[in-house]
Amino acid sequence: MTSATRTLVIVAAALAARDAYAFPTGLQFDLDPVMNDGAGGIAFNGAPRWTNHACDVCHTNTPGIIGLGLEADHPELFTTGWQGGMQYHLRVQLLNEWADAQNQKAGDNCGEVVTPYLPCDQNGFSLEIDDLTGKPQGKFVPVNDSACVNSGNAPTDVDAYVLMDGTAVIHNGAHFGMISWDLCWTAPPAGAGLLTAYLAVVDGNGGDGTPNFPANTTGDDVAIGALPIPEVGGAAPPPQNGGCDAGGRAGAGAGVVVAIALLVALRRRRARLAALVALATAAGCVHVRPTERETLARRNMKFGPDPIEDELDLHMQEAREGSQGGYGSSGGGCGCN
Amino acid sequence: MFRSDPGRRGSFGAIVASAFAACSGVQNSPAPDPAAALSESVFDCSVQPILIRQCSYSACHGIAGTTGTGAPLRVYSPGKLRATPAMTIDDLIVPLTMDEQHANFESAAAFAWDTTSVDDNWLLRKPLPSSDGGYEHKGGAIWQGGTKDTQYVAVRAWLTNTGSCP
Repeated sequence: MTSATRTLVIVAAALAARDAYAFPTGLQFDLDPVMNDGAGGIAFNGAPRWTNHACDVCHTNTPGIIGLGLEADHPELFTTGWQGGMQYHLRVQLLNEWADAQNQKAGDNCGEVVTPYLPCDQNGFSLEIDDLTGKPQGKFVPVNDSACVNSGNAPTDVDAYVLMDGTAVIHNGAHFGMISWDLCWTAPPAGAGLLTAYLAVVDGNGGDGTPNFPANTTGDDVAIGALPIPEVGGAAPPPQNGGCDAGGRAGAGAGVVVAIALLVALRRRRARLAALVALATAAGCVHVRPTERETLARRNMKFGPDPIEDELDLHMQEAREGSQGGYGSSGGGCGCN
Repeated sequence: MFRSDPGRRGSFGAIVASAFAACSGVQNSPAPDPAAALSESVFDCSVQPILIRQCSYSACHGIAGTTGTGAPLRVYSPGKLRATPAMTIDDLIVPLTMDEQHANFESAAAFAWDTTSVDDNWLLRKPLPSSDGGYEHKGGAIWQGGTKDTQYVAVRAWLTNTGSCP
């Protein structure tokens, strides 16, 4: 082997070592992570109970071009709020798909069932709806032929897979080329208060384009969002810092959640204008990825990383400049530094 | 000079001899291997599953290297980081090899080196909520239940050699 060849092999090995399989089926989110390449029940939708971890813990270096949306058959769900015990037909949407989008129309006519091999457009989502304590609320069921599967076993080819513990709903992975997924959610009994829908979608790029890796975690795109859903007659959603509670991985993704939820629901002109203002403020939000949190986690990122040192600094500044106040008390002392 | 003064010659010899004597006893004592004091079987049954489920993702500890995007804790797992680069999906998702499991053990055990208090071991301390003393973990508070979190308890039991396998 020449040295140039050896170098190429090493580079290829290094690149391959960074690849991962992703979870192309919902079932994998329930499987054991040690024995079966599963997620062990973690839904990766950005909810607090997952430490806000979402699909981007694996799907890295994503450009954030895609958006996401959440629609309801009763759009007032997003404005006046949810009714206790009422069942809603929801639709999760992947917007602005670009990764492997050229194969989206092929649907299931892809992979090794066609010749030559055609990469399958594998996309996915994860959704859960939690209360203010971070506890999942309501009940999810899949949809079959536009009807909620409230009893009996759902066919294996439905769009959505409900986690075994019922707390989140994921793409089932039975079909390819999907950019929207239908599911049903029954609201909890009245009194649960303000809820938040945590949603993440992945735009898959068909793996490495060969049958060897029909799915992986590189070259994909991710959008993450959180949408407050008030309870009918309950308190309004708390004020948001620039709409950031609806923040997605990119501002555009978050804006789409707000836009679809509000523009579908609101038909009056003034209400639509308010929705557009909300969209504009949400566009300034950025979801901080796990890989980007190191700097934020540092002690010196706190406003008062070391209160005792602050006191000393202020004490010296006051003695030096003959000034006082403006930053709180600097404590006592004689002014001798 | 020394030839003309036997007394001085003797003093010089004594100085040289004492200098050598001072140097000859110096040795670097080897650092204790923290892994030697920890149970690998308890790690395999009660700690490794936690690390794979919580930590092994590509943006976290499922990546090789200790600089840049890498991290000192390296976790091999099926479907993600493998010691031998997989050429196909099937290679990627096979169960961990013995070598990979041992590497996971060594990587986690290394955090016990030079730690005076087990509670300050970074495996335990960093992923705690800040209200429980956690700090500077990129991935946030993984032990969400604080020091009573079952995962925290399992890792601590391994580090204190009080854990056991079912």
